[in-house]
Amino acid sequence: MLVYVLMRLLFSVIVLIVASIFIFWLSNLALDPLSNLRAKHPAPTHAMIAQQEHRLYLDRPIIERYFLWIRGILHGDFGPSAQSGYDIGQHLGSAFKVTINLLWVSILLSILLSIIIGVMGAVKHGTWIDKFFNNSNFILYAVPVFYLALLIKIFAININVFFQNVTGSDITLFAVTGDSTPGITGNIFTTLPDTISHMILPTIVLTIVNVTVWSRYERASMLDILGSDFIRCVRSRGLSKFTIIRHALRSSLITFITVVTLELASLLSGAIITETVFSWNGMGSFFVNSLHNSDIYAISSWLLLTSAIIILFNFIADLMYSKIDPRIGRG
Amino acid sequence: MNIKKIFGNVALYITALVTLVACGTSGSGGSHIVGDYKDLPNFNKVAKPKNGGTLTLATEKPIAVWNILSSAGTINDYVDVLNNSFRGVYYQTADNKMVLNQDLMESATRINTDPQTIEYKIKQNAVWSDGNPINIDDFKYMWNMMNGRDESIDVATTVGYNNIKSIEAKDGDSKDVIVTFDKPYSEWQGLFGNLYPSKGDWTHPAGAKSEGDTWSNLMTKNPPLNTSNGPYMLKEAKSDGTLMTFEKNPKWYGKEKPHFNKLVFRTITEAQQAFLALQNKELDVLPSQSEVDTVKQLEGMPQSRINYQIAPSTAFELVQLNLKNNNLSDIALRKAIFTIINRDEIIARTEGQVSKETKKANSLVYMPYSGTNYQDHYSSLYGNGNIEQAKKILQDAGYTHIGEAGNLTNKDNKKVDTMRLRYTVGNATRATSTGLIKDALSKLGINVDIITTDQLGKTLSGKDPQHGFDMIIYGIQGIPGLEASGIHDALHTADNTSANYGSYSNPDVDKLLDDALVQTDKAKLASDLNQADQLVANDAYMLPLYVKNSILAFDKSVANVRLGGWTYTANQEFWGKR
Repeated sequence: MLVYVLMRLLFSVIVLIVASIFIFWLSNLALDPLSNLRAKHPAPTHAMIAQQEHRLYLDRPIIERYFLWIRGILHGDFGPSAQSGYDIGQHLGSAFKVTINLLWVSILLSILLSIIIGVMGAVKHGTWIDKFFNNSNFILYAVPVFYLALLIKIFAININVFFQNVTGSDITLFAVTGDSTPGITGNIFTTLPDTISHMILPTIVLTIVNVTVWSRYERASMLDILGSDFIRCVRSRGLSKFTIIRHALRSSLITFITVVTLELASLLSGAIITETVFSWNGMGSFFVNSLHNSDIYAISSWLLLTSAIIILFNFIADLMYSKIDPRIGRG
Repeated sequence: MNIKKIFGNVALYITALVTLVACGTSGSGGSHIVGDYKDLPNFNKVAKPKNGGTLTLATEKPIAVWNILSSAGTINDYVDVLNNSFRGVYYQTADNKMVLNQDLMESATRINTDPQTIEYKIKQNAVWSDGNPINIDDFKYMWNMMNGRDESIDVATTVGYNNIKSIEAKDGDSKDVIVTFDKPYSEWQGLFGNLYPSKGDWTHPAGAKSEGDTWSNLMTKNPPLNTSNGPYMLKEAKSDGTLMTFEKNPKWYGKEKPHFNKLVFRTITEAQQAFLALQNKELDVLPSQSEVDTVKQLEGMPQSRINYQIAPSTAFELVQLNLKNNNLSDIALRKAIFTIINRDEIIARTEGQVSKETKKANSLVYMPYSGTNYQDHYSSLYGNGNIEQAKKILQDAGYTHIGEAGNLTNKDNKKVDTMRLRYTVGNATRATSTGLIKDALSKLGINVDIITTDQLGKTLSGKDPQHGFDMIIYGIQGIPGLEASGIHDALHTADNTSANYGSYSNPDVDKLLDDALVQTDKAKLASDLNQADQLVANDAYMLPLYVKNSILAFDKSVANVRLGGWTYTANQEFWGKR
């Protein structure tokens, strides 16, 4: 088991190093961090351009730039930004925090709902309950995320307008912009309703997006397990339905965990669309802004972080896999 | 009826219901299209707005650079937020006139022309938010930072400051500042447009290496908290630059006292989402780029809640040619191209759908709001879509196969190569304009490849052959009151900037532009610039298309917000609730 873990860890590190090289090389090929500066009116002097090129290491070979960047990262410095004075590490960190804040509730809800819906669908296979969840999943899966988010947002705004007109107040039931009302302070009784008001809509969107996929995996896996020999054996021993489901659930979670863990990594690397629609200044917003500014070090750092997260979650998935099925990782 | 079947399909019903409700509410938004610059100062005017409350405004970009006078800091969104904490000697009114800031200054007078000498008299009661007086020290500080003598100091421009020889106090009075130039600078009113404090934590933090290092590094990284000479000062700023809260400056010395208790600027990067936030009362004021979709969205908003203004801006669109292209070095071809482009059609299909008042831009130097200085150098020459005239120009120059697709041939029997026409990716307006230009040029037999660029600077500077252009559509931000400085490098032959994107060269134009920069006679300055513009027009190097519009949407309860001037936030002490 230890050997297995160490081998997986080593492989993960190698993959990360190779990814970093590709990321840096492609970012530098594709973008010119001085593009916006060159387009300014009045134009900057040649001396100013040369100064900025020196600051951004653009007057050095790409290999040297790569090593400078990696060395900086190992010391907590994510490189010089195209925007002088902009601390990439600090902003990437706060963007990451915002994205985590956005995601954690929806991830927990999604896991819970997916398991419930998947199990119900499998256990009540062919009944109206199964059909209801199937149809719902198909429809919601077919709706593009952007459209779904906008639909829910506009629906909420109309509810707000209706409520404000009826009550004559300025109260906004559902906030559609950002993670909090600017300037709101006070104790938890003041801030919690505001936080909930801001989180509810993006959480609904992300949960729907996740559940439509995850619940299908869980249902399929559960169906497969329920039809297997060992479950037939358990059934023939006369054990209760609850016990049968409990036994089947554990086995069905192998596939579920693999899918969810991989999906988690991609969720963390953006939720770009949801953040954009609801104006949360998280990882997605950071990436889009960096792209607008052709900020190669910011983009490279973002890509490296998301790659590291994907690799990490793959590693965790492998470990959990081996924990759930002890046969994996032996010898 | 099978209840279970119905329930099985209830998801369909829910989706349909949500869609219907989402499409439910709509209305006809109020509007005010301002066609003339002189109407701008009176828009949404209320003499005595109410006091109190918080105003929430949108910015499109988070503030990444807090020093708006550094090379990376001159972004419109940053300037909108921070400009008014650092008011200067002159400012622009809503109708684009350069006027003296009479809250700060008693006077600013040119007392000598040789050498050029300006006397600035600062009001006695003008102080910074920390109580320090605004005086000669601040002027000297600005000059030291912006004169370009220390190349390590990162500034947006040194123009004008590098002409100053000395700054002294008259008779020892620190409020009476004498600025002497070693070389005249015609647009001296544009100098000291923003003043930074020569003392205080932001510009002179404890333990700083040097003033220059602080300017280039610390001041770009750190927000100017509690630092202001305007009606509001920045009290809080989120580290990612997405949320800025301003409160009243207790030391504000101006005549009009601010009405709102707080101004909150929040970043919403997606324009569409910003409009929804306005509709949801999470925003009060939203400035926007002028696009047809924006107008349609505003028209769909409830009239009872939102008003919006569409007004001409100080920016204009133009077509620029790259004279490094072998074919475009022939003036006849350039003239024919400019002749066949139909500006009326372009306007009708693009900016004209935002505002029917959209005006053609007929000068590279002056805008229609510039009063008597503005002269039309292009209408009689180009941009009328006259096919016959364009063909005649080519025929007279010995071109053959005119009008045959891709076969236009010059007098040396060489086919005119396919032209690369570029525009910035994602810009729907320019996509339409380039399409119309391509169609027009095909009538002459010129093939055009329309290629987008996501790196305008790289394209314009020609740094990368993959990003090169033969023709390009982009916008120039006019700088009222600083026309000579603004256009000089774009048209001058040999310079120390890369702003001459198309490699244009005309010694007569160079002479006129150089003279304009040092001209002390305003009338002669305007004459120099107009003559230069006429020569450039004759050379068919750039074709101005139209003046762009700006849009400002706001909650109907907010008074005195309006477009115009360097920034729409310039009159923030007048804002208040109706």
